[in-house]
Amino acid sequence: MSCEEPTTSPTPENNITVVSSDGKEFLLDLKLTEQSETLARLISNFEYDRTDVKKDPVPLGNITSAQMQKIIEWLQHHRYYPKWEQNDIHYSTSFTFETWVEEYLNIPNNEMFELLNAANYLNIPRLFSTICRIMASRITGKSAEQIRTVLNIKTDVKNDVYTGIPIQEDSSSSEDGMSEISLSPSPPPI
Amino acid sequence: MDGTMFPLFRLPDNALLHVLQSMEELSLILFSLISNRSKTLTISANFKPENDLKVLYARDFTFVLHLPNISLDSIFNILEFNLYDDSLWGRSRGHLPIVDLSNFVFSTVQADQYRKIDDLIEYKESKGWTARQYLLHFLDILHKPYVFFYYRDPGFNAD
Repeated sequence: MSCEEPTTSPTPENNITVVSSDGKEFLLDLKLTEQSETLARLISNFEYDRTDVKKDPVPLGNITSAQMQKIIEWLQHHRYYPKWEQNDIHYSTSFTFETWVEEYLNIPNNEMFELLNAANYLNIPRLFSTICRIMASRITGKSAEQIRTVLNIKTDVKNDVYTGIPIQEDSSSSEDGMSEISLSPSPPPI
Repeated sequence: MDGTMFPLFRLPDNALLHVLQSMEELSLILFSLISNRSKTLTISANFKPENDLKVLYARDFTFVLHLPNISLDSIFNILEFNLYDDSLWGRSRGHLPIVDLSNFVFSTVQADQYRKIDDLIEYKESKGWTARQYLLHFLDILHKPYVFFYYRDPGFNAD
């Protein structure tokens, strides 16, 4: 999807200032903030959309300036897109992304993690959902060990301190914690 | 792979579940096998395939699950988790040993999807689990109350 972007010149009346965790100030067009439910609600509550209301800078303590810069890039690209509607397609075998999005999110996993947290904090559903899907697609086709490495998941198998032989951790995978297998009396045709 | 990590478990719950629900089915099932916590999270993702979980047994021991393939309208993928240990074949002299599920341990888990040979995914990892433990794992993560057992006659040839 692509949208024509009419040129508009920002004026002080239709801007707010947000401050990143490292103290850098960003001037944001009110139109852009509509994509962030957190900012939109804040602007509505403080009536910052009115010209006669003094607008104090909005501190964003969880977001660094680098992340904010990246997010503004996203907001500007999607400025004239229709409102995001979450579809119910889960467990899809494949998602397709537009070229711009693929390039925008062609970033290391650790940066993706930080960006997802920022998108979650600011409640930007389109960005949030896109990152989740990109991460899911990065896991697809990986071996168990690769998934562990990418997602930083420790194995449950521990080595015995005396013998060094791997032992299974006693937890939900153990027999005791499991329910009984239920067998249907009349199996359906194969 | 860029070498950096995406520490999934440190995400807020809603983000974590959203990532899991965005996963392709087979990836999610493999993910459930890699740790106890990943299993618990997979259960939370509430993945409920419509079709039954079946076990086909003969020389090998296979969990069969039909998954609707969203991208190929109405064509069903068949996911097979084929659990076997080649050494059992030699020991049993051509016959499947009497299977006591509580003691049957597999060395290799292979998962593949019919009709998608190029996408063969192998989960080769010894968890030291018995077949019963694998079975209970699948019932748990797929929210299935029952499993159906079928004997697959190795001498039967449909051609």
